[in-house]
Amino acid sequence: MVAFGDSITRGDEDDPGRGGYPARLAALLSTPTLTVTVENQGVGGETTAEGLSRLNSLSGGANDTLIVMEGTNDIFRDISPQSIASNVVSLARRGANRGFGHVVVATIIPIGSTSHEGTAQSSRLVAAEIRQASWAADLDQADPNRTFRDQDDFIATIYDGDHIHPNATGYDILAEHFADHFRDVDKLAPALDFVSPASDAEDVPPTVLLELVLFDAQTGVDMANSKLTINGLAVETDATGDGRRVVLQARPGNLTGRPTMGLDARDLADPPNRRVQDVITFTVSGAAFLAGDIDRDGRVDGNDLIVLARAFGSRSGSSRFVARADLDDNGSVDGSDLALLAADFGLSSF
Amino acid sequence: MPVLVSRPLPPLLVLTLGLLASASAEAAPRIEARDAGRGGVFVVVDEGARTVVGRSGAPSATLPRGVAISSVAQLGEDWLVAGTRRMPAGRELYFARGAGGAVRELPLPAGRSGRLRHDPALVVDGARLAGAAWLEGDREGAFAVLWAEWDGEAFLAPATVSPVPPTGTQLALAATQLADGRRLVVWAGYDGEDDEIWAALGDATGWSRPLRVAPDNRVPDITPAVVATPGGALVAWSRFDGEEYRVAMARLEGSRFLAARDLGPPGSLFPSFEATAAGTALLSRDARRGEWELTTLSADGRPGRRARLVAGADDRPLVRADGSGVVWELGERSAISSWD
Repeated sequence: MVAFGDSITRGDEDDPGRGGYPARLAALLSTPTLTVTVENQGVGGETTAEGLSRLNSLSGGANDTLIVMEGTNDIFRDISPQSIASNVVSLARRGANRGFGHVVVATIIPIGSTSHEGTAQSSRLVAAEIRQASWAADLDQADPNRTFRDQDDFIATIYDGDHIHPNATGYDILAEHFADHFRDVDKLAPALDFVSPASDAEDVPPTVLLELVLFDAQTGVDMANSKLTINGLAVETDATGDGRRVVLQARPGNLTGRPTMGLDARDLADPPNRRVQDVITFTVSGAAFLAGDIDRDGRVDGNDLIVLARAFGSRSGSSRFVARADLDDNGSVDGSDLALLAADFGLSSF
Repeated sequence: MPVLVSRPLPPLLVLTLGLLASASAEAAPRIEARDAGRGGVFVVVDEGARTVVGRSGAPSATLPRGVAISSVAQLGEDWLVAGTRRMPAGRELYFARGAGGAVRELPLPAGRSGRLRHDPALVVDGARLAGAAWLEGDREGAFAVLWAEWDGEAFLAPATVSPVPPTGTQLALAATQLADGRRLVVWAGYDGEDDEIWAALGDATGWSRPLRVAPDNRVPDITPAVVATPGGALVAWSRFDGEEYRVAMARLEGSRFLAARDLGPPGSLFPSFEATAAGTALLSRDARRGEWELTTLSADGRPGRRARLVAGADDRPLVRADGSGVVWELGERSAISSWD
């Protein structure tokens, strides 16, 4: 096998001598009668655009597997998710043309970097585009992004301090994920992407069509038993797709206030992997909020007070000014706004 | 052969980067933004702390924690930075002007239309701020391009240069002021099929519709850079040629772009224009050779002399060049190379 990628493939910030995920994967897949080698072709700082040039120097055989996991550095170079995904697909096709009998495209793992704060896109979006593009190109796909996100408090527990590279535990998980992929072991619930309406959308019609897309590149989505939910309750849902990519749609038709759209989805593994979670909250047309409900979450509570406190004393034009905290609309966030919030405190908008 | 790693950096710059490095046991300091066209001021980030470094190589000021800088410009003895900071309801712009060790925040453009604002690009007109372009939207992956004029005291009401596309997004903003006073903003934007390079021209009457810098194609075009020239402007970017990326360039003449042409070899990437004593030059990455390449340009964009430096992809160098060669500055080391 050849593991192709950037510093995450190289194993940066791993414990000394551990060799990142490729060395671990080799150990996991080897048996007393079969030695699997995984060549580490990770280059620090590399983007997918640069990888396309480097891959021309590699070649494989019909029994060789190429794993492509790259794209994190593209984010810092302002390359869009669509171009990153396009490059990843080109890398996979190039690998096949270079003789590799099996090519696996992997989503990038999440980043939570504070040192790169301010980038205009996220690893979540890039992973979503890689899922979509590898599905459209009918490529074998692993999903370490989903594996990492499903870990509790993953940034704090399985990452190095730079929030880009995994720590030794993170590399263990990454290697296990790839090993599961090659052993056809499905431990992951479907991933969700491309939700409509947008999170925190306002003025949404009460008859809006709710939609989200599920991906499951292993056993596939259980389309008959995957539903959208509104405020935790399943609604009548249409599921269309090929199992690997499934579109869930529902039109409840009677939405009011600020509903939460969620998901209760499972795959076809035995036992099934199930994902139950709230996904987005949005505001329906005509919803009336209490004045003190600054964050428009339906309640006047401590969160609203925090927003007002941070903006307290600011005037319109200041970087600290929050227009919604200026409850009396007098151009400044002051004591009169605090009094209005206090009057509503503890009440619900709906 | 080009590289002679011997020349020490100016002592103050070594001291600056050395002191910053000593504060971090793991991540090295990196240059977050730099003014390649005027004076060489740049911003170094280390463990989340951002320092403006003046052209003398000495730290000029420390910026507030939590801001991220995307654009910096030298204005006479002063400098300007533009970036963003996290806010309770999204991400907001940040502009500041500095002189000596003092930092003064500038008021923000009003009339915000999206909860996320990103990647402001400063445009300067001689020794004054002309305005800034930035990305704005309600969610990641769906940004409009906006512009606000600076009247000397405040930003005027923002104008939409390019609305949010139906699918995909717009990224990688670059902007400049043309010799005739118009403003040129360029960016990479999704056209429903792949990313293309777009541009818009602005003057006192408003902004043109977004123009394609090169004819539509079915391959990604990414990371544009722009520089004003006496007769218009040059735009360089990287275009996938079906096998690899390579740097392409188009010239703006009047209000139209002349035919784009390949400027770099296969594997050339991430162009930026650099103002040097040898004239305008193009800095780009050569992924095949693992080198950075500096190419002098004529006013109409024809390539001239080239110099190269072997260095990692992460180590985008600062460059100074004259008729005899190029000084490359990379963190705590420097190198000199002669022109090919």
